[in-house]
Amino acid sequence: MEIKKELQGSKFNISLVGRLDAISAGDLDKVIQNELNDVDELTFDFSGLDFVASAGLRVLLVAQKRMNKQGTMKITNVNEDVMDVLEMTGFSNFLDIVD
Amino acid sequence: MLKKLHAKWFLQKGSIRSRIFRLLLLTSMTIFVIMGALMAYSLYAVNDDFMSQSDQLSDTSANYMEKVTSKEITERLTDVAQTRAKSIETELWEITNNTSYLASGVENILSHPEYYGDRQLPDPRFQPIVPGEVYLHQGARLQAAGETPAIRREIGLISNVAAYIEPMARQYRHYESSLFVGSKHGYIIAADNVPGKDFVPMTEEFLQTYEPTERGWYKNTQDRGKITFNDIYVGADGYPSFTCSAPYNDENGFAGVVAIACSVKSISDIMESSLMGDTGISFVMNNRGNIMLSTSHDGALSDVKGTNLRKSDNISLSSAAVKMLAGEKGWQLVELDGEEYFLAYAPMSKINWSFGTLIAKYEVMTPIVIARENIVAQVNDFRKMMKGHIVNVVLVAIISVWSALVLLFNLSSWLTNRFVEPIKKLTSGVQEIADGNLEKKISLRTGDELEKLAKAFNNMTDELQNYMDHLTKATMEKEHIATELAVATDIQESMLPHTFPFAPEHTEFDIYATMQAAKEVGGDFYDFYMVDDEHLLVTIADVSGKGIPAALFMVVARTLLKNSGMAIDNVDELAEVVERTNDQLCQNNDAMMFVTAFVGILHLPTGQFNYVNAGHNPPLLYRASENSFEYLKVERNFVMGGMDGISYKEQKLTLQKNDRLLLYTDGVTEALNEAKELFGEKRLLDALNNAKAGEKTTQELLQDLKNVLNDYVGQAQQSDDMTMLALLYNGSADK
Repeated sequence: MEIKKELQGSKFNISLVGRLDAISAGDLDKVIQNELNDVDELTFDFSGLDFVASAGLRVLLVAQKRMNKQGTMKITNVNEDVMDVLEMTGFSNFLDIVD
Repeated sequence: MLKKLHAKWFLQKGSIRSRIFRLLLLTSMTIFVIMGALMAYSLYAVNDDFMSQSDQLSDTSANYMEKVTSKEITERLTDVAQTRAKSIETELWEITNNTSYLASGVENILSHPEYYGDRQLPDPRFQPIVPGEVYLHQGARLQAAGETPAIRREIGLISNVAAYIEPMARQYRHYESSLFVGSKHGYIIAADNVPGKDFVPMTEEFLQTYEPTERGWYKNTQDRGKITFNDIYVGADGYPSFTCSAPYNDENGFAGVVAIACSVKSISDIMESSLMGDTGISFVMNNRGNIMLSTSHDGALSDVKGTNLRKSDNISLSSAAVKMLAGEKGWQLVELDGEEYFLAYAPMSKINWSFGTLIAKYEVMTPIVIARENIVAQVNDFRKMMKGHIVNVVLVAIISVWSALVLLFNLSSWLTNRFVEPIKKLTSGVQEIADGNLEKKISLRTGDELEKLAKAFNNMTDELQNYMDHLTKATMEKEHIATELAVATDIQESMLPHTFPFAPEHTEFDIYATMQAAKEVGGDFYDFYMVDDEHLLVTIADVSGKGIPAALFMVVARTLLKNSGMAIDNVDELAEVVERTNDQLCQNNDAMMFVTAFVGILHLPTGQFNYVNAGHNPPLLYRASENSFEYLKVERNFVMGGMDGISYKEQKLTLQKNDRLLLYTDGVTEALNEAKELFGEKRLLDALNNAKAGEKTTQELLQDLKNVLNDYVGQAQQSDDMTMLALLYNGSADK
């Protein structure tokens, strides 16, 4: 999976391309752990994301909990398959998913 | 050809040893050959040069000597000619002067008879005459005729000339000489010098027959009428004489001749002393070309016959005579009796005579010829010696080169071995290392690149050994971990109910479950147990992530859920069970792990099935009445462990006889084929509907589904755990 990052002041855009599975979730986890210090507006762009595994969901959960403390987080351009997963797992209720 | 040779010698494959050996040998041999060729060439050149130079050297030096000697000899000859000419001239000039003086003395007496008395001189006929004594001798004619008074008077007067003669004769006392006055009247007044004798020898013949007026000197002088040198003539004393004579007159004209005769021998002594070598000849030539005096008494330069040199047949002599007559001085080569002679000449200018002296060229040149022969002989000796030396040098060189080559061969061999030995040692050492002996240390003390190479090999074996130790350790650790993981997987699987058939005493249901783990321990689990006699609780769950953390979290989740589930009083409180478990999972969940789960509880007598879906995949429900599967409508509750304090919605349905439920994890729907395509919910539904589920046991159904999945996945690697659980409701046991 490819992680594209774009930091503009305190706004941080992360575009994910490919499959967010158990392996790539580790890479994203590092970004979430290390690069959110001064971010108050985190946006995920899921337009290139084909698939999200449970490990990926965990990272999203971590990110959401972190951003609950220091700002806002939203997810954009979620495709149907990924949306199914988010809905099935109930994540769609806790994440700010923007069309 | 050369290329071939080169290739054969250098590029030809062979051991380093033979290549180095060949290279060393060839290089040194090349140097030897070049040096040998240079030496041979220089020897040849030296020899050649010497041969040509030696001839030239002997020629040049001999010619030079000849030239120098010629110059010296001609200079000496010329000097001799000049000094002898001078002394002979002086001698002759003195004689001439004396003769003139004598003649004028006689005339003075004759013309002034009044001054002189009558003088009586001794007569040799009557008394012996001592040398130098003036005497009077009457010639044969006068003796016969007898003296007249006039003659006697004249004799008495003229005898006073003794006063002139006596002192003059003393000048000549060392030579055989005569000074005399010959009168036309036939008497002479004379003084003779005979060195070494007490008396002047007088033969009887002389005393009886001598007639002065008949003598050549008298006649010649009378004829010529002036002072003259007469050719050699044999004097009365028997010696060849050289006479200078002059006429004297009285009042009547010619009256007689005065003469000084000097033995030729005495002047010849001067000439003899001028001679050089064995072949030397000296001669005096008068102003007419006649040889007056000569040390040679025969041949072309004889003085005996009065030879005229100017008219000689010998051109070289006659041409020399011309120059001599011209009063020149110098030298030239003449030919005499077939031999070459150096002739030096000088004029006697006072009397217009010339003096010449000769020496044979061969005599002068003999030492030079000998010297030349000596030089040539020496050069030839030296040449022979040098040839011998060169032969020796060449022999020694051949022997040396041969020995050097033998030495070189051995040295090359030795050097090569010395050079190659470490390589061999290295090779065998490396071979031993390659055979697996990493303890082997190659010990080389050559101090060059080979030693470095050996050290590098030793370092390499050290590192290899370290690496292998490390690798062994790492492998062991990995195996250890793998073993532990396998054990963990075993433990995990053994925690799940795996004894089938489960609870066979309850005919109301049949249950079967499988879990096919991916490579590592996973986070899937299923569970089922009897809460009480009438209630069966089933769970299928999937922990986020994989590996040991997921496995641990799964154990916690299962344990909490089972603890909570076992405590249920009322099936309608299943949501509370889930909520309680969620809260417990959220405590100290720093890792933010969560679990999706489907939990259901079946009331065996009625078939009522209460269930809570916590973010899990929707199960499939088989209605026997419709003979088909369809996805269960499930509430989208959040996963467990993600957030505490949230509530879950519980749903319920009623199972009829032969209805079936299929629970699964996302490992099934997200199974990937080789084209990385998801198996998907659609395929799952179709597979189940095609499985003729109504005729099959739960175990058979799962087996069929597993086969389908295996076919679909093919060679692709299983990426996630695949867990499936099938539940068949057989209806109430009472019915």
